[in-house]
Amino acid sequence: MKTRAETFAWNVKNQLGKVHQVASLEKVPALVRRLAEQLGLEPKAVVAAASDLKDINWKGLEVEHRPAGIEDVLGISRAMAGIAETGTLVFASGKSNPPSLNFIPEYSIAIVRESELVDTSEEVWAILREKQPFPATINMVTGPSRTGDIEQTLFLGAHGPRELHVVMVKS
Amino acid sequence: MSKTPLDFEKGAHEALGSATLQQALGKFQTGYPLLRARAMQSLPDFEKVRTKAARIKDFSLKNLEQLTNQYREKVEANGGTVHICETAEDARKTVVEICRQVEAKKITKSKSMVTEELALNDALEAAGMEVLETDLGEYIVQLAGERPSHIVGPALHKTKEEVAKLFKAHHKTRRKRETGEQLVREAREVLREQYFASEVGITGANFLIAETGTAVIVTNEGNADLCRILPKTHIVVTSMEKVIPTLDDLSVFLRLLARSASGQEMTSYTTLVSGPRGPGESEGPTSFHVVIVDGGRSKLLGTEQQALLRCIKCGACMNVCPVYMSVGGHTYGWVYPGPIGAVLNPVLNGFGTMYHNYQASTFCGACEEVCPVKIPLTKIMRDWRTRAFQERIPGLGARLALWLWAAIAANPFLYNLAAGAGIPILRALAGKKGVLKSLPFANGWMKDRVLDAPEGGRFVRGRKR
Repeated sequence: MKTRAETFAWNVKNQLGKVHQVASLEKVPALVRRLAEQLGLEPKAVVAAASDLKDINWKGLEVEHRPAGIEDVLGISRAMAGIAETGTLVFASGKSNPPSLNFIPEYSIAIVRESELVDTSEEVWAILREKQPFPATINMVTGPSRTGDIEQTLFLGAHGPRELHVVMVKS
Repeated sequence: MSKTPLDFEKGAHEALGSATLQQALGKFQTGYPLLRARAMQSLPDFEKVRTKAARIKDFSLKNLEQLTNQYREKVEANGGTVHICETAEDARKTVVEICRQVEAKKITKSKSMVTEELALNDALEAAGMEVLETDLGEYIVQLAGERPSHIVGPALHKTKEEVAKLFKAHHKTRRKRETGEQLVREAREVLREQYFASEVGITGANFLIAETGTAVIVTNEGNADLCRILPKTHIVVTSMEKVIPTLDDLSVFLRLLARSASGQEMTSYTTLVSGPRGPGESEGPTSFHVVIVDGGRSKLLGTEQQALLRCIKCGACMNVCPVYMSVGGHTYGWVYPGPIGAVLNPVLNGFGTMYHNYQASTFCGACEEVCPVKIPLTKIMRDWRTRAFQERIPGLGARLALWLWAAIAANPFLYNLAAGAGIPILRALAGKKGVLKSLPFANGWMKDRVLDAPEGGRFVRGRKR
């Protein structure tokens, strides 16, 4: 039997997302720097203003906490949950979580804690029902943006990100 | 959309003669079943799940008014507005009026078959607004001045070279247009600025959830999300049968939709929108409208064919249909192609004008086998044929022939006589060689076939002796 985290990671990869596992949030900046270097990007990113992402030291990265603009290439967002069944990340819009972070930048990094993983979408609804008011926008993201509209061939990065990196945080 | 009687036969002939269309359909015909089969491996109890989905839809249709009211109250409590429109004309006027009020000049739009039904783009353009389709396939057919040929893959019928030519003509820039990758990139760059420049974003919705006042939008490209987030006004245009009771019901449909539509476990983006931007949010629309269209659907409520309204527009039925795979989507002549179009178009666009839609079937039943909400498509097709006969929609000649056939087929003596007469006639036509290369009334069918002349007597008579 796979653990929930293993199933989630397997499904993210199956949906053409990339999975990274880190021991704690403090390890994220180094991972982002490494990714930016590999992708040939400048070491800067727009980052969700979630409290746990604001608190960490983003040393070596130029970080801004705001919605994404047309010029932004790398976005870092904070999922409220991950669904193991399909490898889906769930984002609830709010003050600190602008949905644009998941759609405008060409490269998307999403952070989710392993403790936030659930088995099915039904469990997510149970969490959401507790939220008052109900979030105006909820984005369920499963892999990078894609299209099959040219000769039924799969191309990534249609309007949203061409790469989705999911960072699973152990603690 | 036009209501003129459609020349299905002419369209079918053209489609069969189009090498590029046949190539595209051929590719689809082999690709889709494999993708679907793979995605279904992770849903071993498909039969159970689709039975549940059908039940949820039947319950929702039975309680449609109450659920719609609940949906509306929730949306209004969230700060949005719901408009319920009986006719396509009402819906067009409503959308144009909302756009006028916010002085929209540019509108970005994500794929919605209901807006195709409404011919909404024409109405908005007539009101002086610019409308841009953002789903890549839909953008391609918009540039070409055509209609979608498939409800999930609108530009299925276009080759890469045709797309390159369209982009060159419309974008008026010099750039490499050799690979699909380059074309996807170009569309991305061109449309990107348009989202930021538009005052209104229009999307469809796959489901409306009464419990929370939520519209659910399912895409792979992410274009609907940009239409939702960036313009100041978001209008959802959808149809009345999309309402389901709860979020848990949505989970059931999400397990079926992508698997049936594109052979994915989930599409890349499933977005739940419940109103304008929330308190404290710096992003998202400040004004939010949902336009719910009847457009003739309520005629089906409470009838034997109500199951048609279970449809979640996945396109699986056309993906396995031998008729669709031969004649393509445009031949059907209205918004919905394939088996679902064959039975739904007559209800929404006129029973007489859509006559050929429900005639064009082999009754193989492949559509019913894959339908994720168990719509009895072949039964409804037969119902429509019966109704058409009763309403004298086929010409007098066709009706007489049908009547004659029925009279002969129902009488064993006449049937045996007629069938027995076929043998010497075929033998005489075959001549000495004993091979038939053409048949009266069936030259099209015989074009690629030869038939051996019958030998001996009839099977039934032989057995009696």
